[in-house]
Amino acid sequence: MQFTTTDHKIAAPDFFVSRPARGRADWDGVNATETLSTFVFDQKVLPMEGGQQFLYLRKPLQLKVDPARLTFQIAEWGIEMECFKLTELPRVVGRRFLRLLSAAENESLSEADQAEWVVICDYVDFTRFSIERSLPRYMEGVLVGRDQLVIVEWHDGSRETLEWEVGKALSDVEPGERFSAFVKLGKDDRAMNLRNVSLLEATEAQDGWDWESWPKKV
Amino acid sequence: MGLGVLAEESLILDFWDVGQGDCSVARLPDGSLVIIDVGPKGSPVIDWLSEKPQKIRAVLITHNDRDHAGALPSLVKLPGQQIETIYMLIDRNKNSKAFQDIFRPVREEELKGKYQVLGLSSDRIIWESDNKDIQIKVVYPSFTEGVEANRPNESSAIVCLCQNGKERVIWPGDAPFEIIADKCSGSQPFVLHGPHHGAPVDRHKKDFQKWVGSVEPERVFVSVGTRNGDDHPFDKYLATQSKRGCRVVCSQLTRHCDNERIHKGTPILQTAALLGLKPPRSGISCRGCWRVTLKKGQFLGDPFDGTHLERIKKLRRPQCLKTV
Repeated sequence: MQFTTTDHKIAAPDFFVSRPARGRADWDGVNATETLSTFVFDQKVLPMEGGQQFLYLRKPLQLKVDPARLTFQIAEWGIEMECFKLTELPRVVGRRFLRLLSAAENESLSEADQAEWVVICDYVDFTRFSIERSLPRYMEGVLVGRDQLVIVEWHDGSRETLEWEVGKALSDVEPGERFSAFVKLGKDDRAMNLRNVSLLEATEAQDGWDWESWPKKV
Repeated sequence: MGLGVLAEESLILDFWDVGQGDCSVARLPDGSLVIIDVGPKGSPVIDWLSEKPQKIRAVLITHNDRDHAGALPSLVKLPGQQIETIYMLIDRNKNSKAFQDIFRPVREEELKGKYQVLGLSSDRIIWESDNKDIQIKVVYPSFTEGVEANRPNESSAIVCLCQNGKERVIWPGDAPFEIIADKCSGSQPFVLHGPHHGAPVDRHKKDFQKWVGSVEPERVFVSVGTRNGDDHPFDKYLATQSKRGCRVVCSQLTRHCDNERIHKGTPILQTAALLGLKPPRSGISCRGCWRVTLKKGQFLGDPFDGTHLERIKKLRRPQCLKTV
């Protein structure tokens, strides 16, 4: 077998040739067994639900290999896998996370699980995970303008300039009109997606409402 | 232990991390909820209820600012959500656009018969246990006390969980400490929530220290957002409470404690995940959410206090550990 580079051919490395790893480690004063058996799994975005959702890691996973048994452990995650199943690692990690999350939601974590869950949560960006998983919520607003920028004033008085991709959902709304929509909120409560847009009556139509006597005191 | 078993024997209070704003949820022994403030527009309690609609016995809004009531339209329009009663403070100009924009959907759903909306006054007992030894009730304002609040954060209702007639948890919203001292003087609550995101509105008044001294909480939970434009919380208030032996925790990290950590965006403890709740979409959590369980007459904090304390000791200037 040959590997071809752009300008010349080189022979494939012989994987069965023993390398002077032990010796080199000894020169560096590092325990060779440990050096060779701990690896960093660099992938920090793990797909879940067939790629519809992601688990974002704050720090990379550490794999501790047992060369004798050809298995590895994911440090602090309580997972042990066979080395040749490395490609399944994201799925196994995702499953472990989901199982513990579900137990936390149902208040059925054992004490051992709880201690492990604290450590695992340090690896995961739970906010980002939850944002992706969240359902759209009902919100009301007024379209302030959409000449160059789509600007909305929400029911709480906050103003937001929407990304064009998000704001195009308001194409049937005229500036100054009130609308309601189911809004998927992202980081810092920014609208990521609007759907089921409805036009609301102008507030003048509710002028008959007596706000002063609302709500009832008793 | 499953949710059902827990619900049968205890009362669970979740103090939510909603960023800059307030929201607490009391899970009653029958599994129904009492929600005290719903938090701002993006409140994570809406995400939680969207996934798991539950029977809500009462929603109490201590005052009508957007950081306490901003998520109300989303709550009342949640499909499949049962709400019995919404209690709100009658405190301000209800003809203002700001008020009507938040409360118009609430009124619309009330007209459809989804729930009733009532004024919040101190003759209200929101819930009481079968033997009447535990109550959630309003202690301020009284029916006749007019609450004028023409500016945001000017006043607020005070809600308490009482055990055998004594205030054990106090939710004062943004009420001035002078009023808390007046209504709850001599009390030794397990939890005092805030008030006003850890920066009581009357903190610069001459008698402030005296008012603070009249209530002796074991814990103070400060619901504050990392990014708040008002420089909350007030460091001297936290130090005063800590000095008296009170354990103070903030839901989110603020620049007073460790600006560098905020820039890195690393939370201290993601308690929302640990407790199976939902996280806020902004800010960096410090204590995050906090759970208190009232079981067999005893108040118990959740098991993450020790881990949190260990971690905040490594911050540059943890305000909650300062005693001077």
